[in-house]
Amino acid sequence: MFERGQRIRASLIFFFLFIFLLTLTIRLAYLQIIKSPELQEKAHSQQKRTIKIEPQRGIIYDRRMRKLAVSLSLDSLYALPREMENKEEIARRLSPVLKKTPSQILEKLNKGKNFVWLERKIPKDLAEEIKGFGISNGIGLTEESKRLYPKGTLACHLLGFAGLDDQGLEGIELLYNQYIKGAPGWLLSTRDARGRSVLSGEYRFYPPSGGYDTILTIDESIQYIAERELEKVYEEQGARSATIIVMDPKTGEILALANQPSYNLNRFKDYPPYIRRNRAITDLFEPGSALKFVTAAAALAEDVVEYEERFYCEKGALRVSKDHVVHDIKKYEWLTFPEVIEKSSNIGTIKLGQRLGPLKLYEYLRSFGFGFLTGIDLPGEVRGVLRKPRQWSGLSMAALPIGQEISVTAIQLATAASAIANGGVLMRPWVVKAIISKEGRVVKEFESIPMRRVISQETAYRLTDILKGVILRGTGTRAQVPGYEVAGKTGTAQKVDPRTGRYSQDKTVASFLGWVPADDPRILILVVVDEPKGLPYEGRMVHYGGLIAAPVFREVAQRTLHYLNVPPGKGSAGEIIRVSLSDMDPKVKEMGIEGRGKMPDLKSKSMRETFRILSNYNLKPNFIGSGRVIKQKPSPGVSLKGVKECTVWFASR
Amino acid sequence: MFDRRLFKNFDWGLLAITLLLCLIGILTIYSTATPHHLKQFASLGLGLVACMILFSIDYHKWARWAPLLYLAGLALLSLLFFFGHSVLGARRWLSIGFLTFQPSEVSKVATLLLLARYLSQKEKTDLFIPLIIVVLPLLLIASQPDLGTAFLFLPLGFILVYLAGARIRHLLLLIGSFLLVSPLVWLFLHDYQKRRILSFLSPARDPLGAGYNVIQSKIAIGSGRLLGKGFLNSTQSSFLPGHHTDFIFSSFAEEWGFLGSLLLLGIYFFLIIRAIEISLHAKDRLGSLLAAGVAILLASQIIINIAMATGILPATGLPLPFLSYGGSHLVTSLASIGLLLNIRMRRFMF
Repeated sequence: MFERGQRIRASLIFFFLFIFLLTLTIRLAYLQIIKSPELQEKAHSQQKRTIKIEPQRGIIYDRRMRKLAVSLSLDSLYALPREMENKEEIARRLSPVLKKTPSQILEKLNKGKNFVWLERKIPKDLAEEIKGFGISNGIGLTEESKRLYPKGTLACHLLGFAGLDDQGLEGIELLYNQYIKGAPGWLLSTRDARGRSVLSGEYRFYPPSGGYDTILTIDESIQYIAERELEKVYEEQGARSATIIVMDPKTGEILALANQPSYNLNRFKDYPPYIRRNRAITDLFEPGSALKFVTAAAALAEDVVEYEERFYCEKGALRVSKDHVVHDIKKYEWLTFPEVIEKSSNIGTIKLGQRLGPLKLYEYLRSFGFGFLTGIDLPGEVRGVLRKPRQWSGLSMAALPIGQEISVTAIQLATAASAIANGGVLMRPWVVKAIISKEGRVVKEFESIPMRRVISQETAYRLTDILKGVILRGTGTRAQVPGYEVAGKTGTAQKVDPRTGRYSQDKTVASFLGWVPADDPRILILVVVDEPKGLPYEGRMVHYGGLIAAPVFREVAQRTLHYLNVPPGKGSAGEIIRVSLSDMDPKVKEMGIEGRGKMPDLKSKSMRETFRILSNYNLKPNFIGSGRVIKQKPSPGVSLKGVKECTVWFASR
Repeated sequence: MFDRRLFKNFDWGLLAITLLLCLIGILTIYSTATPHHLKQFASLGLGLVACMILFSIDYHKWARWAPLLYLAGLALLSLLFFFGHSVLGARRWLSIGFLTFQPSEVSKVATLLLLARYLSQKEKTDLFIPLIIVVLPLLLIASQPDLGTAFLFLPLGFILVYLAGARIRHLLLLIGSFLLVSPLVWLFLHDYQKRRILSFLSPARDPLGAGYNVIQSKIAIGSGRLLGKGFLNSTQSSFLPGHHTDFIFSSFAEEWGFLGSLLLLGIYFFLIIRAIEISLHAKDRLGSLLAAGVAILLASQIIINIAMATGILPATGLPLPFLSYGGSHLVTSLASIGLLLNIRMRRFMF
């Protein structure tokens, strides 16, 4: 019992108590009413957790929808260190599963970040084990995709690869990354009342949109055939490198493209960049004799040579300057124009080039695409080196016609040759046919793009006839494919020895390019072997393209034709085509004047022979059908005075 | 020992308020920190036993035993130097078998008993002896370190001495000398304590370090708004360390809003008023001083704790009576309620 004085004291205490409680009430009102919108906003931004969900990269298919690159879903383990109650405990438990020491794991957790990856792309069984722990506070699994290349090394330089973050790093994976990658999704989540794992609380899920699938022009079977044969020659010849390109010359579609050395896409990290480089589009070489078809095409197109004209080949040695002599492999005297190409006479070809002159030669080289990007849809293509005529030296006219002083890529050479196979029209080479969504909707479709007409169809046919001779009786006999007519050209280019600056005798680039069937080509193949060790021939080691690269062509062509079910024999039977030369050849159109002389008899001639003959009569020809001539108008012997065009019907027997 | 009249005077209302507060505590712990609520439930049982022991034995007997209890409390506090469990850098717990407890809680009640006994025996009191009684356990507790609990001895000592009729002159002298000494205290503070005080003065200087608790506590309280997010719907507990112990008020305020907080303050206010009322109507000076001491201890803890949670005072760590998770504290709080019941029940007994 207090006395009165103490009661007064007690009431003072009571007063203070009241003041304190009032202070607290005001403070609470301030926080929970006045300041609460701001504080609530802070709370929301804290609660919200966004987890980025990586999309799955699209599948890459070959032209027949066979899978070349796929994506697997794998779990990745992440941690939210701020939510962890016992980091040591978690680190200790995860340590054996992740094969890391607890201190390594703790170090990651203690970096002061809100979100850390503990392990990316964990194998399924380990992910199950982690799920079995039932520890949910602060750690979780999220799906990520891992790129897998089921065929390993197949088409490695074409496909390229995607790294850990699912970014395309090379090849098609890089160039079409924006389509293949897809858009990431987001998981927005709020922690629930018990602070349990983010994923069990309230959340909103914006699913990732998966990457689009890509369909290539590549045919897995042809790619396989090409790679096997290429690897064989690469190893047998101990070559520095080797490249093969198989394309459809009519459309520019690349059917196969391979380089040696190659690498396994699933272990791309184990290989140095020089092995991962797509040499077919990044590496330059002097094509040598393989380029002579350009000189011949130009000479034919420019009409500077008669078909049966003979060239004196100087008995194998032509002095082009005081201290430079050009040699032929054999000592020829007189060769006809086709024989110059068939036997790959350097001297004959140089004389051909001289008739053209530098400007025309340069114009045709440019027109065939040398010195320019082909525009193939692969990353890293280079332009090559083609100097302008005013930069040429006194020796250039003795070098360029035979493929020296010019650097090309394999894709440039193949594309240029395909222009002849395609009747004179240069096509853009391409490897991606279409991009489709998972639902099958076509997102983007690519078409073959004719770049330009390089030579007339007639010139193309006449040159093809000459290039058939190369295979039949020239340097390319080892490229013969039984049952099919082949047109092609060999190449043996001496490499410049970096030490002496002169052409080396034993370091060469052996190449072969050809197409088959010659008159109605289905495939064009270029084989390039860099620094082969050579083969014995007539008692010595030689590095001829006709010996080393041509057999590769034969093997690949034979198997591919069989695979494509191309019927043996000339031309394509029974197919009716309507060709109007004037539609394609502006030169013929321009002429548009009346014919001269009398109509020749064309009966039983082939289409090519008909071209050749009619070209002398200044007529605009209309061809109907294919095969041999069965009917013509005007009839044989009719005067062509006043006649501007003729029509010829063909049929196959 | 028990008289029928005793039961007639039993303060059921006080018991009901106490149990209501305990229930609020358990529900809040359930909401933010399952399964800790189960252990709290067990502590409640133990606390009720302590409450019963405290009120069934006449408080005059307790006062008689006070010196012994006081010395035992000091001894236990000293034992901490040798056997204490260290949690977060502070040795506050002692183990006896499976039981761990905080000697500082025991010492609190023992000090109150001794101080009330000493003050009740004199009309005009001197200040020296009470100062010794208060400062000895205060220093021991502060050295654990447990500044929050140690600080509680100051209002207890001051107000009891004041109520007992000490000269105002003396009290002012005492306050003055404390203010003079306080800068020296800064030198003895641990780094983390200095950081807390600094961060209180400017929470934003280190938002993820020492100021983190205060910022998170304010966010939790503020995001509760007027009506709260509702039971089981709090979202901030994972961000707020101590969301079920020292900062349980923030969790409660988040779920029940301003109105809920106000209601809780009202219940506490009612509890303290009841304690003061018991003090005023106690049958003798000892009873009045004891009841006043309990009221002072409870009121200081409640005010300081909520002031910390709302960012008015630096966060030094002090439980909220009856709500915060923690066995020792709940048991002593209930024991002190037992003391109140004891005093009230015997107010007409002569």
